[in-house]
Amino acid sequence: MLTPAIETRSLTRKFGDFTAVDNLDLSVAGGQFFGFLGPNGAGKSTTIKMLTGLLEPTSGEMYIFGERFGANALELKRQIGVVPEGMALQGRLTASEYLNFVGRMYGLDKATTKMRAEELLDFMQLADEPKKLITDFSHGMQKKLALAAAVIHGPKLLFLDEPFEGVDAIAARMLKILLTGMIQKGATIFLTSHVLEIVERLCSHVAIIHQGKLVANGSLEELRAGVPSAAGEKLTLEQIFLGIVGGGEANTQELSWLA
Amino acid sequence: MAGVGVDPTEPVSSRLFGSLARAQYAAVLALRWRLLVNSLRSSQGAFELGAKILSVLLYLSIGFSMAIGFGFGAYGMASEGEWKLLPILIWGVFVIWQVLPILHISFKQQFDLNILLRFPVRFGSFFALTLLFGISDPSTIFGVLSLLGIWLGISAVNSALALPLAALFLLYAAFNILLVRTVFAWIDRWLAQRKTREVVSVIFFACILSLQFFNPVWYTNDTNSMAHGTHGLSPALLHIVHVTSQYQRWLPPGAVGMAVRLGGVNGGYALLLSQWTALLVAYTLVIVALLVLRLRAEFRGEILTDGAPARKLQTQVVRPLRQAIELPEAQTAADSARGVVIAVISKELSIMKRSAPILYTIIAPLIPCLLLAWKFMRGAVVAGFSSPLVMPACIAFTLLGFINLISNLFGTEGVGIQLYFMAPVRLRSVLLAKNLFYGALMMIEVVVVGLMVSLRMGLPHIDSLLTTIFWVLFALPCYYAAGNLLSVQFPYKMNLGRIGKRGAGSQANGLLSLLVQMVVTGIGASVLVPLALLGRLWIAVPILMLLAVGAIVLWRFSLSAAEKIAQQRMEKLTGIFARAD
Repeated sequence: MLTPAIETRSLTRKFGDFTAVDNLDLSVAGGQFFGFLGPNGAGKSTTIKMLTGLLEPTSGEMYIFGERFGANALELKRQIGVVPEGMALQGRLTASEYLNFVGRMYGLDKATTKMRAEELLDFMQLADEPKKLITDFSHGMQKKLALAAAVIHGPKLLFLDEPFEGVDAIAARMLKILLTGMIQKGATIFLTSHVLEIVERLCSHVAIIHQGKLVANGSLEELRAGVPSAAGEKLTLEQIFLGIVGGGEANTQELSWLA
Repeated sequence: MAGVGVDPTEPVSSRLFGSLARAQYAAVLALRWRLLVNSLRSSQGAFELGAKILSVLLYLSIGFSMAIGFGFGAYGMASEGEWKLLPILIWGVFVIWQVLPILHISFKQQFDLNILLRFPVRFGSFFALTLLFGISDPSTIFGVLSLLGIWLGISAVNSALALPLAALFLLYAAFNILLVRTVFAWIDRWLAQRKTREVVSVIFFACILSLQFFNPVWYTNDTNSMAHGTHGLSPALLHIVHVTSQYQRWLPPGAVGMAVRLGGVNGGYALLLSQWTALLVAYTLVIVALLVLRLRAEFRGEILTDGAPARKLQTQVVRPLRQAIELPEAQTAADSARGVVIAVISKELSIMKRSAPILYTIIAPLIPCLLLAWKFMRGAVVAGFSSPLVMPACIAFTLLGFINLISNLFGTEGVGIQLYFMAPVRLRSVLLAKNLFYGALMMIEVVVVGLMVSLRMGLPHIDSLLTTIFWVLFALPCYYAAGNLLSVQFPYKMNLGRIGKRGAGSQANGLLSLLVQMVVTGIGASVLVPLALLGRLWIAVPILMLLAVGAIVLWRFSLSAAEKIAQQRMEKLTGIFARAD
């Protein structure tokens, strides 16, 4: 049996009395495009932070390529790429300077970093304004740059926290091409997104977390089978999601003081 | 609509203290209060509050000392009838009020009032809040207390002047507060765009350099002029001084001095009715107009960045990557550390070279250094110090400019700090790189100051040179050891974009780094001063050498300790820098 790219056992994270992630058991096979969904505050970003070494779990175990974070943390981090929640960009650098910085931080040599940075900027269509500071980039441009920085070292496992948020259709298409290309080459992608149409199109497997607990996990067909539907109706991921976490019924109560 | 507060169906009051404005002031006060209370939830927050209280007490004690000095000065001048000398004190207050904020630029993030603009805030309220926020900064405390001292000094001699003088000084205080706000508001505007930022930086450095040249020109090295009672001033410059003193009265501090002089001579309310008071009112109105002009633009929603220019509509073709991006071969730990150090140094250099405030912080201490060098010129002995101490004193002072930066090494990272935890790097390599980067800058500055002092005073004696070198080798590792620990224990976010929006940051960081400076400088002085006075400076060399060895060991320990603390506080650290302001 192949070693999963990600495996967690009873992974838990508490903030004081609040349990953000509660006994999460998850297994993501290598080469999967894995969608990790949940309503706001469900524990998605906390899970990503734990899996990428940005947050210490309160209890439980987690394995990346069969190994635990610990003495081997640096070697594991070398194989991981992350677009974290806040994108982790350096506002007062140019895109090229930032990619060169990140490449060196991940252990690439100078020439390789330079070559890959140029290619990625060209691919992401960020090469037109070489002197512009990142702080002056639009949100979409920053997202593209954050993704470029996450892949510059050629990670085997990529964590993406809301990569499509605030990205226009053209940029989204570009990101999708890049990501599917990585999957074809054997990389594993762990993605969180509120844009369920994109998740439905890209991901082969989906897990749903709600109030810190894993409430669904499997391929789209497996998830569909678990949600009741009218005969012959093929449920969309949005319908599956709402069926599992609730909120399918629109709240009809009106606020009296609103115009 | 009971319990809703301001009734939205009623027309909005246009008054500065109308019902809506009052509700908004109360809301802002409540917000500030909640921010303070919430900050006390952590032990660090409580420590920060304690440090803030200590800072205010420190500022107040310095302010009161100034007030006493200015008070006695004013009393002496008024009682001797030397009213013509009074502008010196008024100019002194002006310099404290206006120059201190520039020297105190700290890039610390503070409550940005622009967030209020999304609410139905009147311009008058926005203007009033802009004036009130930061009213407790050191320059205002010192300025107000100094003016109070002068007022008490003069009023003690001539009680009839007390009331009109109070009115005049209130106007002068308002002028100074408005001027500081106006200057920073406009500087922020200029620094916001790359092109103007570059132009302003060049002008700024040109001014600093010209100031450096001004000192040697002003004070000629001609001992004959000393003998002729011209106190080292060249005749041409004496003429300039004389002419300048005729014109200074037309500037705000000079006008205040003239008005007080008039009141002192003619008595009573003559000062308020004088042309000089009218001139001060005119200056104040001009400054208000300039500030209104700037704040109006901000109020209308001006964005102080270059902004994303409209992109040409073009067919975008997604080109495939030319080569597969693959994981590189694993590196040895040494190679990896070397790569990290080079990467971080390159990044720091890129950030520094486009940040006028950082460049300014580094270069500004050179000016007082040159002034200090003049004080000790050619064997002169001032207040018990002798010339062998000039070199270490100047260098010690120069290094102080860096403290703000090395005590908060991650301050400029923002959310980018997460990369250090995500990437396969040891944080000690990152700290080492930052230490090396600022260390190299410090050494360059030490050499520049050394050359400056040598040019002004001649080559230092070998004892003086060696003690200076070993003092630097002792002080730098101490500063870095403390800086590394403070950077992970009491970090704060810096805002390099807007120097006018500076604020509290971490008081604990500031206070503790100040304490370290005092201890390190104190140790150096306690070794050097007695030995210099005894003429046995050479004894200090082995002592400082031993201290330097101890400091280097301490610094190496601090790298590992700071890494350990950072790992334990990773969540806190990323939270501080990712936090919305």
